Amino acid sequence: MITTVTLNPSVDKIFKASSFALDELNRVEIITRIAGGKGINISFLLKALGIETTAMGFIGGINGRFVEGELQKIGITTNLVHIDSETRTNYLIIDSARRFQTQIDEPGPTVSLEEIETFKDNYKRILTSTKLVVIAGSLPEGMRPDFYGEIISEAQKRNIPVVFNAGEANLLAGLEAKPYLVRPDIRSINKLFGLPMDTVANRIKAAKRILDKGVEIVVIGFDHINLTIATKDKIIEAKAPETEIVNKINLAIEKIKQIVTKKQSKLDFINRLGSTDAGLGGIIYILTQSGDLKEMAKWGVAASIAASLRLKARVKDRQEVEEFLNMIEIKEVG
Amino acid sequence: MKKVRDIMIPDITAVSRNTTLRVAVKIMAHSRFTGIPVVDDEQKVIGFVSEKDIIMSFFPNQRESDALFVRDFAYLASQVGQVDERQVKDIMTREAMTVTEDDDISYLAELMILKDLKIVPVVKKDRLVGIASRIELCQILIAEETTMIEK
Repeated sequence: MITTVTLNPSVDKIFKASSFALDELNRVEIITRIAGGKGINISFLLKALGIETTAMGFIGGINGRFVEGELQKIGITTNLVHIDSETRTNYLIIDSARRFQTQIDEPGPTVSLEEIETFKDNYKRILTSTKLVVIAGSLPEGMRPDFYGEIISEAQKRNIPVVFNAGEANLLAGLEAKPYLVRPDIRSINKLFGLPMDTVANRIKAAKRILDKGVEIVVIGFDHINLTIATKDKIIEAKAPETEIVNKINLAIEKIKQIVTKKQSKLDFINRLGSTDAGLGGIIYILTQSGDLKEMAKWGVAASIAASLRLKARVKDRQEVEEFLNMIEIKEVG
Repeated sequence: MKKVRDIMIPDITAVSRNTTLRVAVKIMAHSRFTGIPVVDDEQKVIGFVSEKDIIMSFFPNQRESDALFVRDFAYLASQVGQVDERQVKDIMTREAMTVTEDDDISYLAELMILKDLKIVPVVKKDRLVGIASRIELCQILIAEETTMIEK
């Protein structure tokens, strides 16, 4: 069993405005809401690929029940700690005229020491039947970054590899525990290493710096869906050819327009929420199968594309990912 | 015939023998269930603790009586004060009834009626994999009946 850990999940609400203006009253139309959070998004992707996971983390209030319900509805096993505070809401506002997407993320609820202890007790028990742990996302209030180091170590001392995806202080704290595979948040790499990720050379430099910390595999995302995957022996890049993707995206936009027109709403965007998490899910899928680096990269990019084309960034089945595999270009860069 | 897997909720919330009653009550208050499975370090079901077990633990002399009322408020107050120290192991039911995902819902129904159970843990090689609840069973039975009538 794979266990995903989402310590600060969310309810993601997507709104559409004909023209979103600052410092003004904007009347928006709610399009949908989804259970969000990096680990949760990865659980959904793996479920679509036929892989069972147990979702752990903290949830609270009505939002928390919604998140739990969405997971259980499609058969994902849950072992979530219910907290007294409310799970946060994130907002994605689509300006359909200018095609802007504005994201507003709440910080997260407060988690008490007792709730943290309950999580730790549950986590240790779940580890006895876990073969891989995925720890991804931000922390709620009341939790220090070194908690990441603690739970990563707890798994690794049992010889259970950890996939870790976080940013900034959380990333640094987690790196201390040497997780098996790390995907740093793209916004963090610039800040932490002072290196923009727009060149291969910089991506290689950043990857090597993280590998030097004792990590086995580093994944760096760029251009929204493309990937650099690095080990000590090899560095490869996987890219989706632009023309093909643009064509697919245009087709998808037409499809979405037809669906939402029936609901008397007009939409013409691609959902960026959750698609990078789906990409990490694709990588994890191959990690648990052949473990081949090139396949990991292909599935990572393909899953990102497939999720991007869905309103809720939720891939339905493996076929949706497989149709993009042959389009992905792989290059060894180091 | 539908199986338990068709109605079970894939929730593996559980407590250990050493969980305090205060934490156990908090977990129950948040969950939709009136009890929680008790598991060992490997998430294997070793018992069950219900709201009823907790309430009855405050009235140890009342178990035989049909009339349940507080005779001694001082005693009750002293028990409340000890809730923090009391653990699940002090009051849990040690032999929990369980079902597997492959069991027929008819077997589950029989268990629920004969043993008056609202919740039954679902296990796979003794390890907790979900929960079967009475209301979910009701819903599927009604749905099955509706389908048969429509046919």
